[in-house]
Amino acid sequence: MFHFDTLLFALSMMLTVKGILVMFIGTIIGLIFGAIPGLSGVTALIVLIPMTYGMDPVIAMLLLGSAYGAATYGGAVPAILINTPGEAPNAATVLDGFPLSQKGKSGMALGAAATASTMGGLFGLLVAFFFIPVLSGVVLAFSYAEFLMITIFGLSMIAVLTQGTLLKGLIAGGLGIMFSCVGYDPMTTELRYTFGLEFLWDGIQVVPALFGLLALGEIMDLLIKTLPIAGTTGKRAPGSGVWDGVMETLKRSFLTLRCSSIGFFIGVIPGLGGTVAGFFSYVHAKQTCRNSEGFGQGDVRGVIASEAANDAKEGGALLPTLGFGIPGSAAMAVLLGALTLHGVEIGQSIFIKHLDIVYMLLLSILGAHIFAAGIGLALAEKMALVTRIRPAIFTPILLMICLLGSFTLRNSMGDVVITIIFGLLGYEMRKFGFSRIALLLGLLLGHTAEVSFRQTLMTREGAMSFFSRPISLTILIFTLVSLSYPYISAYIRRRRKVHHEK
Amino acid sequence: MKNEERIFLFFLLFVAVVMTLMSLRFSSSSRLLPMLSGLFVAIMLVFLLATLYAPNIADWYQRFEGRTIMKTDSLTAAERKREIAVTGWFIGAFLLIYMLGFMVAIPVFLFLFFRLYADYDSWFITIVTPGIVTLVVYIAFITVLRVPLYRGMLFELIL
Repeated sequence: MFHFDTLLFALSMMLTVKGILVMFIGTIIGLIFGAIPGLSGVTALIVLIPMTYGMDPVIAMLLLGSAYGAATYGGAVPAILINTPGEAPNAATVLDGFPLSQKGKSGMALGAAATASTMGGLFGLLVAFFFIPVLSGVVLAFSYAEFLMITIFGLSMIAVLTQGTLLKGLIAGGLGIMFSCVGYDPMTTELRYTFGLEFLWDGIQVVPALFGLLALGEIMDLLIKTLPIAGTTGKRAPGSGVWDGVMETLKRSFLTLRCSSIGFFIGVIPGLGGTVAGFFSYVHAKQTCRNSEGFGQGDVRGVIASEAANDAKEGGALLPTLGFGIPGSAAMAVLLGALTLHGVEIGQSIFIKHLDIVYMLLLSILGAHIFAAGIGLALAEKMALVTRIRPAIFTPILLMICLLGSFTLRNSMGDVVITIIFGLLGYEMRKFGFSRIALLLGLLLGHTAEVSFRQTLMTREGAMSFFSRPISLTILIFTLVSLSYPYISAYIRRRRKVHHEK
Repeated sequence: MKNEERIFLFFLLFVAVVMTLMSLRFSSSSRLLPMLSGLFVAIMLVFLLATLYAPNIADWYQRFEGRTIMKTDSLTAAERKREIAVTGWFIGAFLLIYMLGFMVAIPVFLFLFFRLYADYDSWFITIVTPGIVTLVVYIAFITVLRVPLYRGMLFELIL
């Protein structure tokens, strides 16, 4: 299935002046769309598709692939600097990226994010290059029971992600699940908690809630405290330390590799998306790294984990999209549309008839990662200056951009209302020590958990399939081990200490 | 601060209880998750409130988890005033957008905010900055993306 000559052909097309120029333009557009809250890689693709009508399909894929590939890194920049993820998959980056900015180390965080993104992206695409035919079976092995187990595993992460007391984390997670029930019941089409409001029929969308909880909550806090993000103390420029971030990431190559693998695997499963990938690897890093007490308070390893995973997932997401025509995310659905528009037949035959386009797509995303990292590293020092600006200047502009971004998602004022409500809720939660990320996780996974659970019960095997299907059972065991691991290790440490004292 | 937290917790409890009770009206399969999650949240909130009113419960829980339950930001009097003002500005921003639409609300809000809240005198900040932001929004959203931005209630009524 792997054709070296076709790869060389795609590479030769990419490495022409025209190819590099197209890729550069795509990368810049992707970076800008990724960095503006509310716009995303999907919007970039939608804007670019009409421009590709007259293009050669291979060059068209080069443009689209590079825009898509650069958007994820673009989203990390506002996540680190202003606690506002440019795209939902960058949500986990704020956990440590923004605290690093508050410590005046935004340069380091941006450097680490750029390097981890590139490494994760490269890993995901290289695995996709060589293993697409082999991994196709994984997509088909996932059914409702596996989805439920994955979401349960995701919800169990609340315990790890909670910074304050676990009780408050559980309440926040429960609230998130409750809010995920708003809207049409996916199985019976019954309306729940819509109060006659049409915009609630489709439920509470994650992105407006995300903007409210993280961005608006932070804007309020900055305006009340009146201090710049990086504070006023410290002589070191916040943008310095970019290379420290790069070196930290290179030093932790094994962590990057592990998190990239998680990201790739999550990407392969349609419907889970980059947000879940980011959180999964963040939790993995927190649970497996030594001296993990600093996670959530500005540990660069948190940024590395999240960014490596959400870029690696792109390689994985291409697998169900190209191989089966099952888009794993909104961006993949748009990309699928673009491929069809250019007369590319989706399905297993794509690997025979249009392998040049597949390789060009993978190469363009790969090239975009390298371009985006270069641009990101070059501009990191300048971008970091935003953390020293007085909040009263940039926060009202950011507020308006967030509200505009919420509106443009579905052209609905209802989403603006949701952003404001979640903004006020997010501020209060922040003030009283509730985990906003736990609420977000509940909102994100509640819907999938409910649908998967009820669909599993409707199958012939019913609830037994949770235990009879090997992948489902493995994930369940993994969840239990992951939950009990901190307690078991603490118990073993205590026993050892007692033993040594004796 | 404790009183404020109590009010917030009672508000959340009210939301959880109302949502749980409302779930009883749904069909048996539709109510499963909302009812279970609502009950779970309500029970946890009652327990959290109990730790506020009964110190021995709080002590027991802190020993159990090994972390402090009440981790809250303490605000100064000036910060408290700003908190109310900022909440007002947020709601004001929404009302402006709702009434006048994005393209009018953005410059108006930014001008008013810079002038009245942030107390800037510089014409560059109060007039030029809102102008630049509006221009960028116009070019990005209307010219390039062709997004039909919300025009506002007033314009909808007039036109």
